[in-house]
Amino acid sequence: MKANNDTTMDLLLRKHAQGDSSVPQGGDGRAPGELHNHLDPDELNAFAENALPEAARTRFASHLADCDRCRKLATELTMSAPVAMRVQPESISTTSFWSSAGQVLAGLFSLPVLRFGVPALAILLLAIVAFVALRRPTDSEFVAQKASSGDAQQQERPSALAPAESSTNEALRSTSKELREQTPATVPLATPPAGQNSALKEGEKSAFKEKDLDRGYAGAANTITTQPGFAPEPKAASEERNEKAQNAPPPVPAAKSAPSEYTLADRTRADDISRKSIDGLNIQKDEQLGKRNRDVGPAPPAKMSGPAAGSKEKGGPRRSQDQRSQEQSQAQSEGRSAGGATRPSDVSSETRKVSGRTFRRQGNTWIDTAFNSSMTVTSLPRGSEQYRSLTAEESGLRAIGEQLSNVIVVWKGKAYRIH
Amino acid sequence: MKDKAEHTEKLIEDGARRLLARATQSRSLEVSALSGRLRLTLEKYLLKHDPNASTTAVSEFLDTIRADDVCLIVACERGDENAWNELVEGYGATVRSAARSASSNEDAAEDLAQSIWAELHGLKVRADGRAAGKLAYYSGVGSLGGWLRAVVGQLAIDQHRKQARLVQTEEEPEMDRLAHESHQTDQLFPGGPATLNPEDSFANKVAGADVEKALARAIAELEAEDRLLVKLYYFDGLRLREAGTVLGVHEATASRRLTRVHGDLRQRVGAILMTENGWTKSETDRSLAEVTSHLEVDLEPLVSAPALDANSSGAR
Repeated sequence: MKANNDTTMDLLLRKHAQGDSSVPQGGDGRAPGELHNHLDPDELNAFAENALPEAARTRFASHLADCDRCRKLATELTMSAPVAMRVQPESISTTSFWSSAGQVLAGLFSLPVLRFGVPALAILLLAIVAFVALRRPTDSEFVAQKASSGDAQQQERPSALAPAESSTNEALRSTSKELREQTPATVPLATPPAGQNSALKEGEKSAFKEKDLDRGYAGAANTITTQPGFAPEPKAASEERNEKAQNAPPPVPAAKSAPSEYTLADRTRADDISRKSIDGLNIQKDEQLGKRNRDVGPAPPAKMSGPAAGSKEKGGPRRSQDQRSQEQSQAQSEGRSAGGATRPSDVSSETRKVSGRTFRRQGNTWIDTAFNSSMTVTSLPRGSEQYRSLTAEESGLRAIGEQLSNVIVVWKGKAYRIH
Repeated sequence: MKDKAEHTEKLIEDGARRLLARATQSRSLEVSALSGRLRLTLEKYLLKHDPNASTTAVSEFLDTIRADDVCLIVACERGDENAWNELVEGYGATVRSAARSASSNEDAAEDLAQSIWAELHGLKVRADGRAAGKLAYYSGVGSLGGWLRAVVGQLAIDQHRKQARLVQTEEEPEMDRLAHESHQTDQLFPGGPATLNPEDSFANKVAGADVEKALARAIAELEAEDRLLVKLYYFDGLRLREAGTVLGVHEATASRRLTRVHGDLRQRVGAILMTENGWTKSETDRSLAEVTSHLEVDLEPLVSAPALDANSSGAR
């Protein structure tokens, strides 16, 4: 209502003033809105400089309101007067802080300010929220973080998973315990007490010398706890694995194949684990161990039992159908490791060289040999603006992106995942 | 009464002494040389409006007078050549600048500036043998520079009026009168006749005229400073900041004052229409609303700049 009044009177006054301004001058050159007794220059100047006593000021203001000529002069004088003279000193000195603060507050919460201020504030807030939301990195940018956290989980996995698996494989576990006593290569997987470490390592060395197992199962065991999934592995191990891959059994369909980023990162690690378990199990071609296996079942630790069973089907110790199905069901229940272990790519590792960079295939991903798991992987989907701008500048990277479908490449010290 | 006059004289003399003491250059002036000017100033600015001003008020007022400027002008008036040279050298630029602002070209500005010095010095001689110039009218309440600017401005207007009167033809006032009358018929319902029947249109015109008369009267009844604010803002087209500066208040204060004035005017207009025109409250409200709706269309181009300025800062 107050604002309505404001508008009404504002419009009325404008119209009134518009009509008044067109009023002509009188015959003597004096406008009707002009009085005969004008303020003299001294009075005008005193008014303009705000130097008048209150009573005089009121009288002069009254005259100025009615006299266009004096008002015009006073306005010009005020505008040309120094700023310091325009402000009433007494008004400054007498205005207390609290009263001025109260006026400011009253002004802040008045209707016109609220009318415009609140929507403006809401829009600003929305803009900030939208900005923050747009600035937030997409899930794909967390691949490296997830991978690293996945590594940590993977490192914890041997000890964490053992109890769960033991509930279903008590027989296997007891067997593996016996094997641990006789086969030093399996000791690291069982996470022995710290006091036994030195003795076990000595045992390991001697056992490896005798049985040439140094690149096999022991290496795999160490890698599980220390080496990240994407890290390049020793060349010898790779060659040996290639040989083993020719004897690998046909792939078993994965229990779970969610093509998410997390799955991919995890799956590649699972590939590593399963691959190394194959190596380790091949080492156990020892006749004595084979004999024991035939008697009591698979020897490897509980964690490795699933993949090992599948990979050792050909040429390995023959196991009962029940045990194999039990292990398969266990592997399926543990989606990630089972999925990784049954992939054909686990055993069919390849290398390619594009734009001077060497890539190793892990699963359906080509991984730059220079890649280190400590690197932060930047997701670079094909068709994205970032991909386009980057490949426009880097022809080598473009060639890699064109020739390899799903690839992790280290380019100028940064790791990119092109997919 | 006599005691009061003597008391005032005593205060003036004391004030003159203090003024000389405050001046950085007293220019060999005595209390008697200043007393007459201070008496006039006191009468003009204080006692005329407040005859019963207290001793403190009188003393405080006298102490606000600019000592150096008054001493310089009084010395000039008394024929002190050094003071005159000092005045010309010190304020020549101010006078030229004011003359340029008030004149249309450089030559006219130069002429105006020269005529100012002549006016200040005075071409006539008073009974006491001194030149009867405008210097006698400087009180010292405002700055000497500001006073000189005001003198230049007023002189420029006077000269312009004289010239305008010379070139004015006989037909112009008649044309102006006709134009004014034509304007008066185009009052607060500009868009009405096109859409209303003649009867409604006539009724609206009458109502609009009543509203306009009531508004003019309501404005005239406003307090002096409020009326000046309305004139500065609506009639002279000043921005709120500028209007506030003329009034010696902050823009926000001017804005609040304008909002209050709107309310006052609304009440006054309503009261006038009801008491003198016999309108009911609902008729008044409806008429004002109709007037507003018509004006919104008519004044759209005008409303855009200053009205927004007023509304946006009106709540401060």
